[in-house]
Amino acid sequence: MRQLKLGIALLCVIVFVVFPGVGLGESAVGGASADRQEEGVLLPKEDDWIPVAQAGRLSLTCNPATGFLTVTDGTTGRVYTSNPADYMTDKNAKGVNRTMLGSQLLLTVADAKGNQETINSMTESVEENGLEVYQLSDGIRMRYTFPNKGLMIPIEIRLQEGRLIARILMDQIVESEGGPYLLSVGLLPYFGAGGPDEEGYIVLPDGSGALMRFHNGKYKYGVYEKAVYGEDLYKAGRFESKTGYPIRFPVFGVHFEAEEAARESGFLAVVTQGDALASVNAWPARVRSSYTNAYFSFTRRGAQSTSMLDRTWAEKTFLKLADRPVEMDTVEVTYYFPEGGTGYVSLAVFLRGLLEGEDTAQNKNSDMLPVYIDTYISVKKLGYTLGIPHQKSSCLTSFEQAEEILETFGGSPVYMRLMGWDEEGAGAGAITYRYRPAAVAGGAKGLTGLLDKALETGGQVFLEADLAAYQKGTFRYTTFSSNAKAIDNKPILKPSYLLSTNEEDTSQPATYFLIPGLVSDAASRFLEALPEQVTGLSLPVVSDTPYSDYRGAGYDRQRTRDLFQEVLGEASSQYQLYGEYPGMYALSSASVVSDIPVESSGYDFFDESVPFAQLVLRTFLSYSTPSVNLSANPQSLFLKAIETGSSLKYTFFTADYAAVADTPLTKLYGGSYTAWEQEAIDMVRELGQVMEGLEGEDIIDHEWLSDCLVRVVYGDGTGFVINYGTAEASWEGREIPGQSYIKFETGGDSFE
Amino acid sequence: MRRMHQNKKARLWRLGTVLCLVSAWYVSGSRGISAAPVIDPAFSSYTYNAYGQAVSAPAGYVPDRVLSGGSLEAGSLGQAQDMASTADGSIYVLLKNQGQLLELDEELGVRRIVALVENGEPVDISGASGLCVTGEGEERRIYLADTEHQRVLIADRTGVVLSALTKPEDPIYPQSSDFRPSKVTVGSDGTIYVLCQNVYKGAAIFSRQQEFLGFYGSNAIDVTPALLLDYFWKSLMNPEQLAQIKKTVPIEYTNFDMDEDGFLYTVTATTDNSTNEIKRLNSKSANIFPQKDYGDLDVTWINTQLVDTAFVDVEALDGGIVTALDATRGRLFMYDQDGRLLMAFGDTGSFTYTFRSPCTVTAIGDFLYVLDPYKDTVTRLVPTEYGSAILRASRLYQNGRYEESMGIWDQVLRQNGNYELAYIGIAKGMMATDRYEEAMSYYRQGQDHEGYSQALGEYRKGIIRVAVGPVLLAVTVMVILVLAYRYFFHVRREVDMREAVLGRQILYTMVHPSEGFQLLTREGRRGSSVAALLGVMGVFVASVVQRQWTGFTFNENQPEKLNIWLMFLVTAGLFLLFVVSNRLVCTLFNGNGTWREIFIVTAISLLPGTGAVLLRTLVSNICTLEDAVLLHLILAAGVLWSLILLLAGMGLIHEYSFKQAFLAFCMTVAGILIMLFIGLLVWGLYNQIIAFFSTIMEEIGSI
Repeated sequence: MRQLKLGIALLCVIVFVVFPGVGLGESAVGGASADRQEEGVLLPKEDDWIPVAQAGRLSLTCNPATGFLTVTDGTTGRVYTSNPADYMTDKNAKGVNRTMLGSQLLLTVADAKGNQETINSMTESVEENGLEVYQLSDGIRMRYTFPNKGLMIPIEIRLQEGRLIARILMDQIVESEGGPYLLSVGLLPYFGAGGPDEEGYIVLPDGSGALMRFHNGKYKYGVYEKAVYGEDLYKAGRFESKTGYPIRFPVFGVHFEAEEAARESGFLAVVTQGDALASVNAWPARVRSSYTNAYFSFTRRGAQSTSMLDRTWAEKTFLKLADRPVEMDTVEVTYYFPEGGTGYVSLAVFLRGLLEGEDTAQNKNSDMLPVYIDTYISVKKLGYTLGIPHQKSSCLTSFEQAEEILETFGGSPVYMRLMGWDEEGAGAGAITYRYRPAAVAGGAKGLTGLLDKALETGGQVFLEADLAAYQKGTFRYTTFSSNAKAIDNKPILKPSYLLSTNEEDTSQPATYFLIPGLVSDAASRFLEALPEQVTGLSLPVVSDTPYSDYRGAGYDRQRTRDLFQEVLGEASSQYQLYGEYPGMYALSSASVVSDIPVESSGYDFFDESVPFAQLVLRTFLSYSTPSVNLSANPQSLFLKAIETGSSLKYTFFTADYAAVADTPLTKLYGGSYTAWEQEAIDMVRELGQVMEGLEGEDIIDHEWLSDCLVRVVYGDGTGFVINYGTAEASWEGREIPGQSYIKFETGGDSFE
Repeated sequence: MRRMHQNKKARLWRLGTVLCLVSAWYVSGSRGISAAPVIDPAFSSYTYNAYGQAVSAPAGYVPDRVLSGGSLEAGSLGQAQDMASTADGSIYVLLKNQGQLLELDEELGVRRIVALVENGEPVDISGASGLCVTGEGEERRIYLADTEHQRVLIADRTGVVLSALTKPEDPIYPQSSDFRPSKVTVGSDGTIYVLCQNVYKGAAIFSRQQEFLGFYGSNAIDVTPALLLDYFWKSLMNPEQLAQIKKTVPIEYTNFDMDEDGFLYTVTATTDNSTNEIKRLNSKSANIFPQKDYGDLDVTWINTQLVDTAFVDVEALDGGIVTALDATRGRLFMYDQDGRLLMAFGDTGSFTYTFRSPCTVTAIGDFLYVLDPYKDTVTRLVPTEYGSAILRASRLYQNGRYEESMGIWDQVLRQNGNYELAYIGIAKGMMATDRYEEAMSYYRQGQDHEGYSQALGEYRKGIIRVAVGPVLLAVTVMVILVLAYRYFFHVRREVDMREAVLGRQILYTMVHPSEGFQLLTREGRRGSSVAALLGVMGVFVASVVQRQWTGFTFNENQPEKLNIWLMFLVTAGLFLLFVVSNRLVCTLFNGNGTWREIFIVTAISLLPGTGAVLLRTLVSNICTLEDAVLLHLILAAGVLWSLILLLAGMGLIHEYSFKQAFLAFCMTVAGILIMLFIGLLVWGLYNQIIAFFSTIMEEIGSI
C-alpha cells in the first residue's frame, strides 16, 4: 500500500518533470481560485526529501515528515531552505525558539476571553502528527492540524518559472467552536534565512529602505514587526505609538553575498494577495537564533486592546476579538528569484519591472526635474466680524499669490498641491465632496485663474481632497452615523497627541474616518462637482492608509484597500493623481508621488539606509523628497535629492507666520514663503544644473563607502560621491568638503 | 646609495599601502559601530511657547555615530556608570562590570583601556559611580568617586593612583554619615567638588591640596502644603515624639557640572513641587537661575504613576549654554544662562535617535555624547543646521551682541516660526538701532511683555516729543472755549429728573444713587429693566474686550484661545447667582426688594465698574509697566464706585441702613459660595452616576 502511494507520487513527479507546462495555465498572479480546486495526492509521511516540483532553473523538494522545503536555483547552486537543518542544535536558539526554527507557520491565537498565545507548527502540529502533504501539479498542499487547539490551516506551495508562490487558504481554515481563535499567521518564517557563516543582508521597505545585515551583532534591540500601510487605525490608543515611517511596499528582499558576482543569490518576497492584512517581520541574528530572517504574517481576525474605567484605580485592559474573521479567501506571498543580481539595487529594479508589468503605459516623467510645492490656502481660526470674535476662514496664500509662486518657479515644471483650498480650510474640516473654493483667497474665480495659469506655465495643480478623514460632521457625512467603528463598537478616532508626553490631547479635535463604502460615494459626488479646469487631485488616506471598519457588516482592511484602489482608478481616468508617500496599490493610478522618505526610520538593528523606494520609482514615476523647508537639515536633504534622484519639495504660505499660530498648522514651522523664496529658487536651480540630463536615467549603482560617504552612479555613467559628514573626506584622491558632493564621470567600463 | 634611496621609497610606498588597508579595514569595521547621520528623526520635535504649550519644531540635534557595546571586545559596556570628556577630545567611560575605564576618541573610536593601579596592585573600582577627567598630556588627572570603598581616587593618565580623598575628620562633615561619594567634578582652579550619598549639606569641597573646605550649595527645602501641615503637627508634639519621626531634609542633587565661568550647575531628579530641578549656583552658592519648572512642563499618569522629567545629569557647554538629561523620556533639554529653553530633543524608543534610560551626557565643543547603559551605547549627537544656528545666535545674544545676532535669529525663524526667543533676539537688535515700532511687533511675537513695555515706552517718548506741543495747545483752547460758552450763554439749567429721559436718569443715578434708584425702581420707570439687561450685557462685552484688547504689556491671555460662550456663562451666571442669592438672603433679613428691583439695582450699579474696565483697556494700550499703578487706580475707582452704588441701592430697595446693607452684601457673597459648592457636589455626583451607568452599558455591550 505504502509502496503504491510512493509510486503514485513518483509518477506525478516524473510527469511533472517531463511535462513542465502542466498546471501552469493560469496567469502569473492571482490564479489561486482556478487551481485551488485541485485535489492532490497524499504524500507518505517519510522523513525524506521528495522532489515535488520543477520549473526552469528552480526545483522544489519537500520532507513530508517535517514539512521542510527547499528551493534550489540551478544557476547559482543556492539552496533556499524553509528551515535551517541545525534547528535543534543552534546554540543561539533556546527553548521554544528551537521549535520555531523548525516551523513553517507561527500562529497567534486567543481564547474568547482574550488570552493570547503564540504557537508554532512544529510543536503543536508536526510533532502531534498533524501534517499532511499532498502533491499538486506544480507543488504541494500542506494541511496543518493543531489537535490541541482544534485548528486546521491549509497552505499551498507552488513553483513557477522564476518564482515560488506560498498561499494560505484563509477560507478553508477550520477553528473549533468557542475558540481558541486564530488572530494571525506567520508564513515560512525562516525561509531563506541568513546563516551565521554567511554574508548578506535583508532589505526592508522601511522609509526609503533599510538593510539589516546577517549577524550584525545588534541583538539587544528587539525585532522588527510592522504592519503594511501602517497600524490599522482602530488600534490608535491614548498614547501615540512612535513607529517611524509606515511601510508602503509589501515586500522584503534577501541577498546572499558571494566571492564572485555570478554566484550572488537572493530573492524578493512580495505579498501578491492580502497586502493590507500583512505585516513585515525581521529578526536580527541572536535575538531568537543564529539566523537573520524575515517573513510576512497575516491578520486573520482583528483584536483590539480595550480598557474599562479609564484613568481610575480600577482601570482594566483586555483584548477584545472581532466577531468574525477577515473575508479574504487567499493570502499569497510570491518569492521571486531574479537572474542577474540580487543586491538592493537589482531587487528594486526587479520590483519596478513587476509594477510596470501591470501598467505598461508608464514612465510619466518629464524631461526636466520638476519641483513640488505644497501651498496652504486657508485655515479656520479666531477672527472678528464687526468686532465679534468667532472662528472664520483666514487666508494664508491667495490664489493670486499662488499664481506668482507658479511663475517664480516656472523654469521647471511645478507640481503644486493646494491644501485648505476650500471653505473648510486646512487641518481640520469636513469631508470634501463639494467644490467650494475659499472666498478669502479669491473664491472660484481666483482658483480658476490659478488653474489657467498652471496650464500656461506647464505646471500642474492638484487639489487636496479629504474623502476619508474628517474632524467635522456635515449633514451628509456625520460624525455619528457615517463614521467607521472599531471592534469595541466605539468610533475609530485618531486623536491629536501632545508632542511632549505623546498622550492624547483632548483639547484638539480628533479625526474620524468615513465608512469605506461612503468614501466612493463622496468621491463620485466630488468628481461630479469639479469644474473642467481642474486636472489634478490629491486623495490622502485613500491612497495610503486603508482601514478596517467594524460597523455593522463591516469592511476588513483588504476590502477597504480594494475599494480605495477602485476609487483611485476611477479618479485617475479623468484626473492626474498626486500621492504623498502612497501605498504600492496606489502607484498604478498615481501620476506623481511626493514625500518619499530619504532615510529609514533608523531602528537600532538596521545597518544602512538605502534608497530602495526611490530605486523602485526611478524612471517609473516622478518623486520628491519631504519638504526641504520643514527639515532641520535642508542642506543634507539637498544632498539626499542628488543621492536618490528626487525632486525637491517645499511647503509654503505667503501670510505672516502669526497667521498659523494657534491653528492645527503650527507644524508648518518653516513654511514662510517670503523667508524661503530666494533660497528655494537657488536650491532648485542648483539641483537642476547638477542633475541635468539624468532625468530619464536609471540609478545603476549605489554604495555606502563609509558611514557618511555614499557613492551613486546613474545610467549614463555620471556618478556622485556625497559627504553627509561635517568634516572633509577624501575619495580616490579627491577631497570632498563636509556637507557637499563631487560629480564624476565613469567610462562605460567601471561598473563591473 | 641609490639603491638605499629606492628601498626607502619602496618602504614608504608599502607603508602607504598598509595605511590605506588599515583605513579601509577601519571603514568596513566601523559599520557595526556607527550609523549614518540622521537628517530628520521620523517623528517631530517640539519646543515650549510662552503659554507652556509644546509646539512643533525641527530637531535641534541628531545622532551621527553610535558606539554599541556589542562591537567591543568585552561584548558590552558592562552597565557603564559615568562618562567624562576633556577639551582635547578624549572620552572616558567608567565600565562598572569590567572595573576599567574605556578611553575613546571624538569619533567614538576605541583608544585604549585604562585599568587603575595602586601600589602596583590592580584597584577594584566596580563600586565607583562618578568620573571626572582634567588636564592634557602628563597633566591629565582622573578623578573617580568610588562609592563602595568610600573614597575619591586621583590617578594619572596611565591609571596609576596618586592619592585618595577619604572621609574628612572635620566636625563640619556629619560624622554619623559614611563618606559615600557618588559624583565628582573639578573646578578650573583645581577645587574638587564631591557629591556624597546621604549628606544633605550640598557638595563637599576639597582644595587643590586635598584639604576639606566645607560644603557648597545645599538644596533648600521646598515649601509645600504637606510640609506646612507637617510643621503644624510637629509644633504640637513633645520632644520624645519628635525624635521618633522623620526629619524633613533637602533633596540630594543627582548630578552637577561646573561651567567655564565657575558657576556650578546642579540637577535634582525630582523635587516636591516639580520646580527648580536645575540650579546655577554662584560662588556664594546662591541660585541665579529663575524659579520655574524645568524639563517637560506636561506630565502624564500611567497606571496611577506620575511620569515627569527626572534629570540625571547636566553638562555645561561653552558660552553659558547648559544641557540636562532626562532619564524618564530619554530627552535632553538645553537652556541658556538665563534659564530659557533653547531646545529639547530625544525620546525613548528603539531608534538610533532614542534612548532607553540614559545616565550621562558630556560634551566636546557642541557635540554631545550620551551614555545609555541599558541600551549599551554611547551616542554622539551633532547639532542640525537649525540647532547650530540657535547655538550661535544665543551666544551672541548672551554677550549682548544683539545686532550681530539678528541675522542668525532670522535664519532660525526661517526654519521655525514658532521660536519665540528668535523674535525677542531680533527685537533687542532693533532696540539697539532705535527701531522701536518694529521691536514692539517682534516682542509681541516673542511673547515678551517686559520687552514690549520698554519698546512701547521708547516709542511713546518719540511720539510725545513730537505731539506734546500741539496736544497741549488744543486742550487749552478747548477748555477756554467751553468756559467761554458757559459764561456767555448761561447753560446752567435746573432739570426735573422725573421728566428726564432714561439715559439722563441713569447718569443722574451714578452720582445720586438714592434718588436715582428711587426713580428707576420705585417710581416704576418704564424701560429700566431693559436698561439693566443691557447693563449686564455690557459687563459681558467689557470682559471680552478686556480679555482681547488689553495692551500687550498687561495682557497674559492668548487671544486665539477665546471661549466666548464660557465667558458669557461666567458673567451672566455670576450676575444671576448674585441676584438670586441676594433675594434669598434679604428675604431672611426682612428686605423689601423685589426680584425686579434687585435686578435693576445690581445691573445699574455695575456700570461704573464696566466703564472703568473699558477705560483701563483703552489706556493700557499706551501704558508701560511703570504706569501700571494708573491702571490699578482706574479699576479700583470703578469698582469702589460700583460698590457704593450697590450698597446705596440695596439700602434703598430693602430699606436697610448702610451697615445692614453692607452685612446683606457680605451674606449674599457667602450665599453665592454656598450655592457654588452645592452645585459642584451635585455635578460630581451626576458625573459619577453617568460613569457608573456608562460602564455598565459598556460591560453589557462587550459581552
